[in-house]
Amino acid sequence: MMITARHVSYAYKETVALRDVSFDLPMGETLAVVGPSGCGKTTLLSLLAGLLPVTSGAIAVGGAPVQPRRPGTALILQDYGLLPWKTVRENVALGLRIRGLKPDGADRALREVGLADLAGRWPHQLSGGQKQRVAIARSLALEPDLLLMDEPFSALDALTREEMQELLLSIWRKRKTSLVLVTHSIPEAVYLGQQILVLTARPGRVAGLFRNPAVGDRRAAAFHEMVNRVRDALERGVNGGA
Amino acid sequence: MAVRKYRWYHYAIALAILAAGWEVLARALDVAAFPRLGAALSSFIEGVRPGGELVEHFLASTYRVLASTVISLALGVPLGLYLGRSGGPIGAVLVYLTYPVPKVVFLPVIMVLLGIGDTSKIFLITLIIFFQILVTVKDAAASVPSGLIRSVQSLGGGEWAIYRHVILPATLPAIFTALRLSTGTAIAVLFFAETYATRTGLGSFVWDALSRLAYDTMFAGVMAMALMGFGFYVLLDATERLLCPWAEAQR
Repeated sequence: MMITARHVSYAYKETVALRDVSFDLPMGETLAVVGPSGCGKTTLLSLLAGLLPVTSGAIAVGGAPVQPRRPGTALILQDYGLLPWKTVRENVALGLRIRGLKPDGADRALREVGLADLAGRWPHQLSGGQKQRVAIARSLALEPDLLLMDEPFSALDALTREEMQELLLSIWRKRKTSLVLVTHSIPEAVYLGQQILVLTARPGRVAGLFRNPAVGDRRAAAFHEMVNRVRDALERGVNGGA
Repeated sequence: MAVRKYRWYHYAIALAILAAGWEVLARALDVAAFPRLGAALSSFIEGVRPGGELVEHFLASTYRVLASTVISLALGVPLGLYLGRSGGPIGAVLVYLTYPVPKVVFLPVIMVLLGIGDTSKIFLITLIIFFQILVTVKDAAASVPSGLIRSVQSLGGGEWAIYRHVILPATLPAIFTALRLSTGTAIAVLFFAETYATRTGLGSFVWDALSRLAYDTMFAGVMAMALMGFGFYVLLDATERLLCPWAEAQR
């Protein structure tokens, strides 16, 4: 198992953000987390990255209790987090440098996301989609076995967004990196998640955990059926019926 | 924030405006204490010829300002970065209590402790511009976007990596702004520090000329001071372009 989460709850002061969330993520599989805004999706990701401690319950990553700065875990933040004073190549190499490794992997990672030609540019010279590719390349350069992504494509236009989803899927098929993707888009969750975890409104509880047969095929009947099932679960969770 | 690149004719036009303003004012005032441009200029040229006395004073003053600036940077930047990123409220209050104190009042103490040579003058200038750099750097370091810090943390970076890859480069343009401000201050303080107990430096040169009522010579010294400040600004601009290429590309 890549991730085992058992009865995970998280509270900050009086506010309970997550309550009793459990799931398993097998090695090399993908999990999409959907839920209404403020349901604790990002909190869940921070817990998985070890950036926040669980209030109760337990999380194991790669067979060991979750800890901050696990070398195999790569976290991609919503706002790309590119440093304006570093070129594209230096931004991609940053994680390697921080870990004291040679920055050789940077160019390979840039080729993988199709940005080898822009290695010398500054971040402000890139489009939103290109910045997102740099952020992905920066994580890939670290050769992670677990990729955590927080609403990675929410700022992109519809077309770029689908392009990025396809890119992510092809990278995943090639690398078989375990992937947890937080999103508020149901079609995105169904396109990318072998499992789909639906959370209720705050405090986030499990409103549904689905196995999804329709990964990577937007036109299949199973895709639309899954979208509807997730939407039903989401609506029940929002209306407090769960 | 980015520095613009100046061409030769920008300098030429600015100099022409300045020269015309000077000449008009000198003719209108028509007093001995404000000489014509030509008189001051010939006195200046006299002074900067090989072996001219202005050169020696210019070098003495430049050394004092340069040394003070380097020392203030070496002390003010690390401390400012630390106070801005990790410093508590006590550090901030300490800075705000000591910053406004007029440091010139320490001159007698400084002269008793460090003598009347270069050391005491450099110390006084350093004492003043150190605070300008400290306050600017501290505020800039405190206002670095937290998203960039999280981004380095998400890559496994600790405090050192945050300073090295986020805080320092984010603060670099502010450091140059602080240096531009402190160059003006340093020259003003230099003038004060050189007006007594020394026979070298442009301040001493100007003061000496003033006491002899040699106004042409005095303004030649003032020109030399302006030239020194100008040299520092050109140097700063060039260094900033070199160290902050991303800001250049943003233009």
